[in-house]
Amino acid sequence: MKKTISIIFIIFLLMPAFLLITPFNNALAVQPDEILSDSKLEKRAREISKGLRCLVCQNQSIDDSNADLAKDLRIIVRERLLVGDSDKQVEEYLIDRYGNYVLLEPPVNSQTMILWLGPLIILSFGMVAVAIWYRGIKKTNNKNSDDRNEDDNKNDINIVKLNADEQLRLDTILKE
Amino acid sequence: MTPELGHYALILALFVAFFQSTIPMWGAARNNIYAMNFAGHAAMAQFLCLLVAFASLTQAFVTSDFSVANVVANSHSLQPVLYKVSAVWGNHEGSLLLWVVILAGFGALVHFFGGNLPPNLKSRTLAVQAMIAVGFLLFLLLTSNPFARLDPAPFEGRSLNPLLQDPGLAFHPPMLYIGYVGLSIAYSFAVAALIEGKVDAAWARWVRPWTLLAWSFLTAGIMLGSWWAYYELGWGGFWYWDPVENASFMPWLVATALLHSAIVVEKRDTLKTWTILLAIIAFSLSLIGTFLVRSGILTSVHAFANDPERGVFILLLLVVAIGGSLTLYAWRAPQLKGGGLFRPISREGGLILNNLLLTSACATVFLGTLYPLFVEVLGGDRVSVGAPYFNATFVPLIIPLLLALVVGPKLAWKRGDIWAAMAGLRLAFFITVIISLGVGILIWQKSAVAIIGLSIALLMMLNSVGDIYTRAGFRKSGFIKGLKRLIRLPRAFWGMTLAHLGVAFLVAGATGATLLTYEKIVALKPGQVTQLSYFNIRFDGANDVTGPNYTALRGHYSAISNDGEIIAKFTPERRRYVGGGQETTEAGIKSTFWDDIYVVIGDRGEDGSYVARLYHKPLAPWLWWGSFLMVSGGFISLSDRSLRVGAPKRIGDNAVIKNKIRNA
Amino acid sequence: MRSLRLYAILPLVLFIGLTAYFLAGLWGAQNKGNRFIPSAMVNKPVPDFNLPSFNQNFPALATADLKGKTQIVNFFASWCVPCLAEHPLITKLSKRDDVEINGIAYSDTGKNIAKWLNKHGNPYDRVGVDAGRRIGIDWGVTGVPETYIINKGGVIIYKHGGPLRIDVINDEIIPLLEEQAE
Repeated sequence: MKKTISIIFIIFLLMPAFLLITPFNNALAVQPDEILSDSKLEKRAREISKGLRCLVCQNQSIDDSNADLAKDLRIIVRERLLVGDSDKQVEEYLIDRYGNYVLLEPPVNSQTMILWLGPLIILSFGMVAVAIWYRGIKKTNNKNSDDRNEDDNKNDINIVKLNADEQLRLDTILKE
Repeated sequence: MTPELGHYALILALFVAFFQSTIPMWGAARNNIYAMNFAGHAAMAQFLCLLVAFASLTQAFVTSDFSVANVVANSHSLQPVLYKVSAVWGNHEGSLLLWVVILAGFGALVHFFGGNLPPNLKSRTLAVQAMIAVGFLLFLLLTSNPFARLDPAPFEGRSLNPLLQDPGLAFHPPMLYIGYVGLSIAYSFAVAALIEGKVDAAWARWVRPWTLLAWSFLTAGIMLGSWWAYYELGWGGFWYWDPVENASFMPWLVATALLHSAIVVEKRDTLKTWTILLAIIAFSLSLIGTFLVRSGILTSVHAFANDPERGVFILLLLVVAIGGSLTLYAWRAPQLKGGGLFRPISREGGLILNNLLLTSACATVFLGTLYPLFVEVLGGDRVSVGAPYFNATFVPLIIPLLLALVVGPKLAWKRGDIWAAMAGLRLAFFITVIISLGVGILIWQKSAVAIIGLSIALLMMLNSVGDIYTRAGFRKSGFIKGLKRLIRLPRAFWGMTLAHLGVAFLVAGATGATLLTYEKIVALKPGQVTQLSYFNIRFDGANDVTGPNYTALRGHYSAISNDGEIIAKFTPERRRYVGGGQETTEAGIKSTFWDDIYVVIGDRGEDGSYVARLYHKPLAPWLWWGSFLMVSGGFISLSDRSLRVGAPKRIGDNAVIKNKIRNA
Repeated sequence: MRSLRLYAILPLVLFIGLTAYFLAGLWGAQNKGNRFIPSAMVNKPVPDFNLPSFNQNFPALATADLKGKTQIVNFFASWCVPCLAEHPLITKLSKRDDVEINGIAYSDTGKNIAKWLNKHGNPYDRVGVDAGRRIGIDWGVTGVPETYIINKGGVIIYKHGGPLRIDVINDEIIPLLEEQAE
């Protein structure tokens, strides 16, 4: 029973991994006259637009913005799709003109490695730091209690001396 | 005349702050009770001076005194009074004045409520507080004088940015600043403790209420800003990971971690060096946020001033405040004595996990926000870091945190039994799985990921309910007795439970608003009806209206039931303001407990139709309910007596009593 | 405890690094202004285009015109206030022998451009009207004004976003023009 609970719990913890592969959804700024009649192409257009930055706004996608430039870029995305470009080619078309800055999601390349790996490195560093710290206080506490035991036992006549058997049982209980 | 009075009061405050930062510090080192007590009185005096300065600037705005440059830049004679007042802090100089007023206010509060603080700690804390004040007052007086005059005075002002002429945004800065600036108390306490060389359970007990106060206001401030973006910007978005948004979010994350780690210091006398560091970092992030927003280093629609000269001054403040405190930390922290041992699976372990995840999340936001700057400085290709990055990196850190939130409080101190803790969750888990399956079948096509968010939120809610049920003892003592006990439960418990419940609602709301929105964009002629998920929306026409300082196109829409009865009415607007000619959209929103219907009117077509953008946002209101619960929880906890009583005064610290005993 | 001392110093070290970046960032912010303006088209050949003029009498602008001599292309508009502010500087540049000044009117009509140039003076050798903003996108334009320098071989070698200033002209543009003249 404990095993089943732990397995379910671990699956629960792993669910975040899904987030990395499924894109998020967001609002539209598309006008009715921009919408393509081919719904598959339109869906692609919306997905691509959500990843393109509105260059005259703050942190909004072209899908999300009223600006003229955003509208122009939305129309261009659809035009390129109609001409037969792949998603990547549509992005390339805009990157050629505006650089990587036009992508809302930074590209994954050697330059941006630190950005993408950063959070993982930070978390690992934190975990290691906690582990080292914990070992440290374990050592200090054991040392302190050893020192204290020696002094106390000498002066305190009320300390019950455990025989070997009882000591063994005590140790086992404490270890749990 | 009065602007001069305000200016003078500002200068006076600077002098008071200067003495407040030096005399008590000397007094604490020499155990001179008179020098130490000076701190409290100076704090009150400083606060009074700054109140006068603030009142004087407010008066200049309310009376439309256009001889003051600040009033010209941010007000207009036709502006409604509420916005004349909110314009006081709706600009760089005025908001900085608000900053120092609140800073001094907190100092005065420490004097007022800190009667049982040991004098050495109290005087040092107020001295550090005053040092910060000196820095900011110098900044104000030397580079950003709110009382600068114009001669000759123009006839009319340029009016406040219409985006800011809004009730939500009027209150957003003061709340936010009380939060930001309130963290300075935790910082001052930490620095004072480092100087003294002592951190103990009593220190943690004093720090917690102040951090809780700042945290509650910070939560409220962030929520107001987010809510404003939701109904004002016309897209139904509530968080854009804009650098300035992140600048307020990072201190919030660290403050939350601080709240929780202070508990460990208080109960178990361990995690001291870490908690001190958190207290320093929380306020440091507030300062860094101030720097980012006002220096022109990051481009953002929020950014006030784009003045690199001012930026250098603030950077100097940062170096002294943060560099100084971290140097003190590097020197003194290793000398702080550590505390007790505990098993990894225990309440302490849970709280450490909480801290680990929160600080990692904060570091991630920090990395994402500043990465474009780093790249630019190093000469690389400019990249932009937006929502996709943060969704991919921040959210996976939060999910384990939420699960820890459910299990952690059930663990005992020192040594916890995780199986017993999880066994307590059996029923909640079971119900969650069943409901998730049901909901999942409904929504998996729209968004499978949403199921995760909703399940976790549901588990958290059921857990909270279960906690209340268990603590009240309904099972053991029956309904009436249980109810009685419920009312008498410690407020700290209610505070925690409500705040955690608030988080659950927030998570559910964020999931619904982000992933489960149904949208429709359609051009409608008057009288036409269109379907939006399971609602029918009818366009009733549009007309022009005039407001106090704007003209607008107003659309009329109704949500009607299948029988033709009107369930709700909407009046979205597109406004154009006098003065600047700026355009804003006002969405028409109908909120029920469960969802929002959101209507925005667009352009007119040639055939007399108007474009309408319609959204159905399930669970969106829970974003605000959740935030409200969190803030309430914070305030309820604050009202708990045990948090305010603090530890008893130690006779040994009081030099006068020492003298008395010696001379008796 | 030595290891604790190491950890205690870490935050300070990180902060010092951060301050260095902030200082460098402030230095850069001096010249940047408010908005980041991408310049991905620098070192690429002039895009293919052929734009009409604002009336029949004045020369239009096409890709073929932008070679043989150092060229400046200035994106402007009649509705653009900073464009008016930089207009005297453009006029000054137009008096130079080592460069030809061309204008592209962004998101504007021939009629408005004619009026504007009539009122404020016409420094351009050629003007193209990009009413649909599409050519602007090919050049990587995000707003007006933006100014490009093209070398004799038809390659874009410089871009300045936002209105020109006297220091930009003296420190960046004129040296570049002189260099290209050799």
